[in-house]
Amino acid sequence: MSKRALVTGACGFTGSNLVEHLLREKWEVVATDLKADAHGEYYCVDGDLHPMHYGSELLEGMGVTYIPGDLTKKETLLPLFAKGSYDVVFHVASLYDYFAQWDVLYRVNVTGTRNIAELALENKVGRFVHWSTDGVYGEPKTLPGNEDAPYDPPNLYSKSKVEQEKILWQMHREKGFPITILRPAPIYGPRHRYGVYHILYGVEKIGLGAIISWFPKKHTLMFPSVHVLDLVRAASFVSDKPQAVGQAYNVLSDCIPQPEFMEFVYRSVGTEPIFHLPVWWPLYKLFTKVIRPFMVWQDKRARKLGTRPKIDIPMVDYITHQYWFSNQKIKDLGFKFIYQDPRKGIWEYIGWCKERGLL
Amino acid sequence: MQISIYDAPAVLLIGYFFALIYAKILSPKHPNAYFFFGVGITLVFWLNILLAHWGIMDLWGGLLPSTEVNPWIGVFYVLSIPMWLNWGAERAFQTHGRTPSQGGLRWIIGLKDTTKPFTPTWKESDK
Repeated sequence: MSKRALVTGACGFTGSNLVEHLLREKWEVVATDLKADAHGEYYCVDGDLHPMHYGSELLEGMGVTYIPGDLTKKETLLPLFAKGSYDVVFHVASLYDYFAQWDVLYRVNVTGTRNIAELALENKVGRFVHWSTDGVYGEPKTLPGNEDAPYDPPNLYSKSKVEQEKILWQMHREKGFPITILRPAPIYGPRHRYGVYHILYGVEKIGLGAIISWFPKKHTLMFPSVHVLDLVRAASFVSDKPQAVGQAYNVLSDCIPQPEFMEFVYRSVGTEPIFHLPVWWPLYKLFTKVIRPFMVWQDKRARKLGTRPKIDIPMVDYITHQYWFSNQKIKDLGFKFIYQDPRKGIWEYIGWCKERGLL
Repeated sequence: MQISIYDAPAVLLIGYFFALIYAKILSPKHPNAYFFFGVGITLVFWLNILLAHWGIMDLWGGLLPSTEVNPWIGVFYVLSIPMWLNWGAERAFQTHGRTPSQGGLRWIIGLKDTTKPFTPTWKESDK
């Protein structure tokens, strides 16, 4: 008998990939997401970049049951459990937008998670696999950061993910709620449009690498990322492991040094850097400290004009912070990455984007 | 040897503005225009200096002031003309991009994206 899953955020980038994966593994899938016309209530303006959300048309013909719902309104989630409980609830839905204000992030990510988790608990689901982020750690003190690193969220989005986790850990401790938390690095892959895509898009649009190929001389910053296929495989994998209950797992490819990653990106998109310039670390930090106020100014100006900047402020932090995390725990559980070296996945993703005129 | 000190800045500016026109308008349909224009402009500047050197005419017909320099410096200056042209052009490419789809460093500063979208490498009908 096939296992029954509920996927929240099923019309988004990760959710839709998860639905496809579960169907390939012969799961019975119930999918939920906002109605397309409700997106505007939570998502910020798109600016000039490509839109980053999709509609339920994405699920058409896939063979899933689609029930629209709004996480922030608990009563709209009741029909999801009308035909019984689930072996696994994959709670993917989240407002992943660095431009979003705290009140909206709290409503969707924190209140929304509490609502779906309470219903899942009441309906005695077999497992609640929750999507968090490795952003909950901020910059880990010991490298590479593992799952025991303390919370230190560097931005509002990550802060909202910490709040989500706290609610779930409490439910696990006090009521035995069977949770497994995944903490993925920035995700990329088919249908991805926000985050890693901005790096590739920016390199292509700026059209040169010389400025970005400034890199600190003796302070190698690492680049964390995960291909969506590895992530959804990991979700399905942990949902089947009894020892994964009450555990959190970092899900990411092996981190590679940022200069190596950028070099690969330049060559892959066809904009080779003119020269490489290793920079003394304090000077590099100073350079990026100058950029940040500019980004803040851009952010304020964009809000005033009812649009958004091309690069959100937290994205700049990636070029000055050491976001280096370990994937050893999930490997020890027996999970094998297809894209252990992220270059393989990035290469495929660039091809996907180029075919569609996104790069 | 007679040279015009205005040649280097002039060729730099010409390179900059031509590169801008090339990047935004000419590059999709005339990808070789940049090369031919560069060679043409260099030849014009060199020819002007040669004709003045042979005494056939004054530098730029006497419209611009000229300076007498050591012949070695003069030769070096003359040979550097394509380099100034290319340097000006590269600054334009960095600032504004190399194709209509690129925006150079200006792209990241502005809020409005004025660049053209990228072209997909296949169409639905190609599948």
